[in-house]
Amino acid sequence: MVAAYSVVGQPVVRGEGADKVSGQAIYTSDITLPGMLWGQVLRSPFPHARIVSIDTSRAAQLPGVHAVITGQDIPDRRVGRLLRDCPVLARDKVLFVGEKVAAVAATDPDVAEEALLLIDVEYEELPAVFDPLEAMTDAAPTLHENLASYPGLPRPMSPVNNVFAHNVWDKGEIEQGFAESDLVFEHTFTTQLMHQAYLEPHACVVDIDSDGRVQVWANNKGPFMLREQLAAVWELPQEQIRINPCSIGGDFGGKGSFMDVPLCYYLAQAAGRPVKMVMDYIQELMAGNPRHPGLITLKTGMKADGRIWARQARTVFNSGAYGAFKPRVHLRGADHSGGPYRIPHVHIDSYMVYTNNIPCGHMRAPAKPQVTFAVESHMDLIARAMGLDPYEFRMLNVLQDGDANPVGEEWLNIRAGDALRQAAETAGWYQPKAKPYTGRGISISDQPPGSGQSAAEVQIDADGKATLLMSLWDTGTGAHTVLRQVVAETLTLPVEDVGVVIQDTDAVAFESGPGGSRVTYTSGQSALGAAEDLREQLTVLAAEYLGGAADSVTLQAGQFQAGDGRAMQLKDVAAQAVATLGEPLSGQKTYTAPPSEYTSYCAQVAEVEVDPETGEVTVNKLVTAHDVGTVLNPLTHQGQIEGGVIQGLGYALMEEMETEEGRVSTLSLGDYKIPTIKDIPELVTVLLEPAGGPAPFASKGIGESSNTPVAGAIANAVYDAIGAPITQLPITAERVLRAIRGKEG
Amino acid sequence: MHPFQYTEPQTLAEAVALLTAAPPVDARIIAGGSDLLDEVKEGIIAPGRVVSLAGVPDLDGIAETDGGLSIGAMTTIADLAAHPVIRAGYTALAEAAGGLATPQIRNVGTLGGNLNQRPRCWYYRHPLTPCLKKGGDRCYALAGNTKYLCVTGGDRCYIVHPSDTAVALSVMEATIEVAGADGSRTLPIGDFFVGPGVDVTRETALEPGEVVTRINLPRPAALGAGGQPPGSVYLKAREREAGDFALVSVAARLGIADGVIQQAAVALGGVAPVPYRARAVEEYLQGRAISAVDAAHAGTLALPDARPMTDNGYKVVMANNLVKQAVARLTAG
Repeated sequence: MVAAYSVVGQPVVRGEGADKVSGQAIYTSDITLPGMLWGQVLRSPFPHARIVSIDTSRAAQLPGVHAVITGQDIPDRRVGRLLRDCPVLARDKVLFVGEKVAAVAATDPDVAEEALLLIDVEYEELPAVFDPLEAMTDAAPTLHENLASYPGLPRPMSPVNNVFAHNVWDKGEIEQGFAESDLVFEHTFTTQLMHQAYLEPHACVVDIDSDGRVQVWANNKGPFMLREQLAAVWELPQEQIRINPCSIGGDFGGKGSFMDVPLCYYLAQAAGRPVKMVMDYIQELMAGNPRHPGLITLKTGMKADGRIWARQARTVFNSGAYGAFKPRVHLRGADHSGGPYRIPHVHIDSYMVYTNNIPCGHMRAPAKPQVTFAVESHMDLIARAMGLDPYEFRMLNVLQDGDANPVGEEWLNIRAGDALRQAAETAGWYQPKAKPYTGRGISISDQPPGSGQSAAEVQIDADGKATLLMSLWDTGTGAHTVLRQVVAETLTLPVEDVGVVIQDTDAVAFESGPGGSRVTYTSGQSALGAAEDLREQLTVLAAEYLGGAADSVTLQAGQFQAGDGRAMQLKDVAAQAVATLGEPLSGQKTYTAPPSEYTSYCAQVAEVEVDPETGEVTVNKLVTAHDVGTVLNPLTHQGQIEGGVIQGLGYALMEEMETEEGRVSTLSLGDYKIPTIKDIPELVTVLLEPAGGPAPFASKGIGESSNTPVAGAIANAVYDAIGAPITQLPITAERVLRAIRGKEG
Repeated sequence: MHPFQYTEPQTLAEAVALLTAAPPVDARIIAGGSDLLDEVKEGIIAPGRVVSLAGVPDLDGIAETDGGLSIGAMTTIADLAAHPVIRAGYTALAEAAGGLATPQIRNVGTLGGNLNQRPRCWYYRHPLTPCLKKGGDRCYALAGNTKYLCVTGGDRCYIVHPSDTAVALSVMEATIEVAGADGSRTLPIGDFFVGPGVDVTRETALEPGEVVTRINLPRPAALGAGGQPPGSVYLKAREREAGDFALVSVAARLGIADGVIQQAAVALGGVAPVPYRARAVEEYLQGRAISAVDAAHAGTLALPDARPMTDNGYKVVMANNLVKQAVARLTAG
């Protein structure tokens, strides 16, 4: 039976939407302070070079320039989200094209840009390495000689050159698994550098108060973690730093990075004025923190009857020059190299490798789209080689409820098979195809919600209006609206009567912020807990005012009802509380989320048409089936699903930051191609019957799940259409044409 | 962004004067601005003056004349794509315009601007590569990624001309009217574009201070009894459905009378530094009965002199197939 909710489950439109479309919402680049200067950075044109000398004297003399700094002018400390390997400004060496070597603060951005042209840097080029496999050989230059000294480096250290994280997942006995297999298949897949392509580039403002308090505005979704990172590199107590909230213009995993904030502080210090830094898109594409390219080799032992018996995976991620932009140093998504299948023997090696490329960071379901493209393509290669239908092959091997997955995790209520079945049925898997060069492909992955910590407070004023206070910043997902619904449901208020106030980092001890599909779970539970705490307090007061026992008083539709039939409006209770206490009643909750017991499966079927004469791929239809919990808000839920699918389509077909000798060639959003409305196929969403979840009202997260399987589904559909596999993303016309011609010999 | 003086002259003479006034300040013309401003923001050019043509009279609009059509250089791409006479009689041009860039760009971009836009070669566009076209000492593509570059006509520089409309105009005997300090002149479209062998730093024959004012399309010659107005088509292969330049495109126009091809014009985009006339295809088609046309064979004649670079051999295949498709479509019964 589905519980009857009044606000939860309603398609409530976003509260912040009107402010955004009318230009009222405040983003970081909107922050303007008296006396504020503009900061700009000079970037290295070389992928690997020694800095021989930097002459800033001409720049410093330019009228309007207040500060010019180099690595020599600031403390020799490195910054990182966990692994502190990234200099604030390069000191002796540069490790990628786009690395910051000097910075200027000036009265306006044009003067700052002009000043950069007046800085003379002498470099001595060093041998560089761009390919991660080459970087792992002893012949390659070692890019971080002092790796062992970096705080946050995972132990034990890898003996392999330029490898700074090597993670292993093991289940069963891999050698035995292969020995017991009847057939063994091995394929290698490559995936590209991908930018998050958020609308708003990185920006920050830093102001140092006269008492030394550092005020920061930054489009960083994890302000508390940012504060920790800044405190570490600036060597200041965390309490001396305040991160002030702003709207964030798109995240997609990329906005958890400190980016220019550490540097901006030193500029503000040198200039004695607040400084603003805003990256343009050229800088974003040259030196942001994009999704890692992956080189993924999968080797699978099969039983003759079609059962997967052993899986060995080697995932090599090209981290670029630094590992500082990853909160865990490695990418945990590599653990999905077995897919959601029953495999008794599994061994996964995942390497994080330094090269002289742009440093990579997090993007929507870090590593999962890479390995899922590989796993799901590999599945189809095996199925076709063994004469099995790709859907039936998956159904034969997919995890059943009660199974442990390939890395030993045991999820509650596994519905992977249901998701596959519903996707296949909805897509008409067995229907004949309309014409030649049309194909269908299926793919599946899963996404559990991340854990974390969240703090919330809910107040209710004398008018009976509630306010949710949190330090959870808006990244554009609609989370605030969903949290208001959770509070409104709990207090039996209309959602319009619940507002949100976003607080700075002084307000609470810690909040993890968005990431890993965790907000509905982690922040949802803290908002729910705070609302429940408030409701209990109101109930006690209502009982007192009504002259009954608290346990005999119930709250329904904004009214407290005593056992004897007497009633009191919630807002009157709230008003009386304000009158009595002199302040609004407040409920509070700090929630530390344990690892979720639930994951969420997403199966997709893509239908494509290929023009065999040009290689152009058109996706005609995509079915996405989701193993959901209670859907708290069908509008924002669907928004996440559609956005994820479209981003996945861009990954599959067109988005690629092309690099040469470490230099990103695609430096505009004209050359770096994200899908337009015309590229978007008919999208059919299937939601499985809600069946439990760790978030409030038995819901689940939805932020990442639809993004992950798309490339696999499209790649398999193209394979089906042209009869040749494409093992490299993106699947461009050029590659399809080559594959068709290769097949024709 | 590099600061510049913005001017809005009210006459053509004033515009020309502002472009050439001493001292030289690298004055540039702005029409829709969708390419020019990108170039300024990307640091490729640093003009001291930008001369808008918005206030100059008579540069906008499509007029039917005795000889055919006369299109003002400031006519927007969107207006071009929507114009009934162009859609009916100059279909390839309407199709090229309609599939160009995005609706937003088509609404501000102009035909004159489209013919004068600069190449998309990412070495040219990259702030850290001082390539030949920017006055540097070498072409970076030679040791780099040539996926989007030319397969014929390269000469020290290997760009492709990015304009869709230029390819369509190339099969329509278009002429380009140009005004300058010494009066005006008219160039056939084939002479308007110049390859890197002539001058590596520019793509057109425009001299400093010259402004494209009109693009004229002659009315197709009568094809005698049993003749139809020539039909034309524009096909474009690309990596996304909107906001993308052609990997390869083809414009073809065939005048057919009594089942025989009387006039054949075929041009390719995305393959050369200028719109490329596929003369071998034209020769094959000229005078041939449509019943005897082998479209696939015509396709193989698309680029007889192609010398693909490391990464762009696929363009030859695409060109062959797109020519085949265009010919097949225009010769279908």
